[in-house]
Amino acid sequence: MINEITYLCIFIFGLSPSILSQELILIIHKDSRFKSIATKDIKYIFLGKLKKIKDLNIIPITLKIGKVHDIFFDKFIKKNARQFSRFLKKLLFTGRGKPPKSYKSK
Amino acid sequence: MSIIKHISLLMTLLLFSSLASGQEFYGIDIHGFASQGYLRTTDNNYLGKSSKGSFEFNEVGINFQKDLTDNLRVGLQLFARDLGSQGNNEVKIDWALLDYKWKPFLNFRAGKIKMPYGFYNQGRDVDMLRTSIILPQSIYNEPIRDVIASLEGFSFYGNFDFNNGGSLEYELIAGTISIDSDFPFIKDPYLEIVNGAASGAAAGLANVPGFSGVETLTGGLRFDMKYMYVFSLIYNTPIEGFRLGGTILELEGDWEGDFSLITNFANPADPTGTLLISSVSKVSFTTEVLIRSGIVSLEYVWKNLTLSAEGVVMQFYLDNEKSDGRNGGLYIGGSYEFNDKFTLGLYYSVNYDNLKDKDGSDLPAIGKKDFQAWQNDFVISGRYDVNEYLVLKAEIHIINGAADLNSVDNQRDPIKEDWLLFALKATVSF
Repeated sequence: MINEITYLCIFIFGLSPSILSQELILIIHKDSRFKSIATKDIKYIFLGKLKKIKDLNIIPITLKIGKVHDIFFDKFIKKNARQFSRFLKKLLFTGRGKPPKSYKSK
Repeated sequence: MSIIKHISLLMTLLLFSSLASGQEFYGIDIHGFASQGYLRTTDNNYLGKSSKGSFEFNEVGINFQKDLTDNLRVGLQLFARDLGSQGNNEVKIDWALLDYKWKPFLNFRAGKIKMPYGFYNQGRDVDMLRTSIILPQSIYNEPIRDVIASLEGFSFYGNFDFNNGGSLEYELIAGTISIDSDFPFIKDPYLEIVNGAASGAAAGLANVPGFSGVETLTGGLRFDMKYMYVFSLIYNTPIEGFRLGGTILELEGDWEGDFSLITNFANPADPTGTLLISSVSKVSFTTEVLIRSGIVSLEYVWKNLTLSAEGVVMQFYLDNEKSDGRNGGLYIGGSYEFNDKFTLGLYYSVNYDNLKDKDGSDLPAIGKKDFQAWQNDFVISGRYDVNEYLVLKAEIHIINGAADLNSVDNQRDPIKEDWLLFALKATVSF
């Protein structure tokens, strides 16, 4: 269960800048029952609009800063780092949600 | 506000800076923000005693949130602000709610909930969310800020996804809210009634022998809101970054007040004229107020450029009688992030007290200037993000008209049609 609910952090941590220069690859934990995930679902998860997929709770986790963080949000959430930071603060200070946990390093 | 309060606020800012990454205790997330601003106008007093410069312009908030289950979250934000005669740093509950997420298309909140009203009302207390210091007053009018800030009640909200057809967000919120009696939205019209009654009585008695004047004694005032509901729709179009929105609001309440009129006559028994014969009459009124408002909103975000426009129409009904003319306005604006640090914003906002009398031709008859019918506001804002937690801003407003000026703050000097407003603000958040 732990592996399944934390797989979204692996999405981000598994990205490599060298890979990103060519194509974006998302990695899901090998024990996860998911074989694919819609791009829009990733967006909704990080915008706080989607908490479950196939009855499994999703806990999004992000890197605090860095190129991987920036490219991931640009590609999937369609916001630059500052725009996403403001979006999270809006969630936080208006009572509309809690931002994803973020960590300084992988 | 005293210098001690300013020092306290500065200490709070420094404390917040030291905690800048946010804190978690026993699974409870704690975050906060604090801002201090300065307002100065070349003429007229606006949002306080601004013509001599005003530091009565700050906001402080701290919130606590915890996920009780995977679907259930509770949270609370304490908030204090000062803006001229409003707020005076009294700590209040800004929002306090439980939020249950069931399905993407249907979720539920209960408690004191921030209200959708246009795209930017929910975040208006939080300065770091926007480029400008003062939001366009045509939509986010300060005199009604506390009325549309939060609502105690229930909310249903959700999101429908149409695959390649975009998505639709909705929120329906209903409840009520307590409004302080010194709130300008209800106090200003009350004072106008009191002064109007005094002027009318004085005019009627002017030719009565011995009449020497009318005084007023203000009494009780309150607004008892029966209900308010707001329905908000946002359509995220298939064009990335482009969204359209609509908000409708209705509120009803009883506006109750009383005051005393004291009419004075010369005492024939006192040749010095120092003793008067006074007659006191108490006047009470109760008015049922119904307000309906609609807003249309547009926003387009493309890379570092954000463009937005919104328009509002507001109709008042007093004792079931439709008031003559609607209040309304619009703005158009944009901002551009030149780099991670600096953002420049511009907007033009115009609002009218009465859309049927945009040029104010009816106002001189009631003792007002014609330019009190409108307020044009051209604004240039600069925002500098020192880091993720500290934001500095400066802004200039080039204003024509005086529709939003508070009559209480502008009694001493004649109001001017063309004037400038300068604003500075520093905000920290963690």
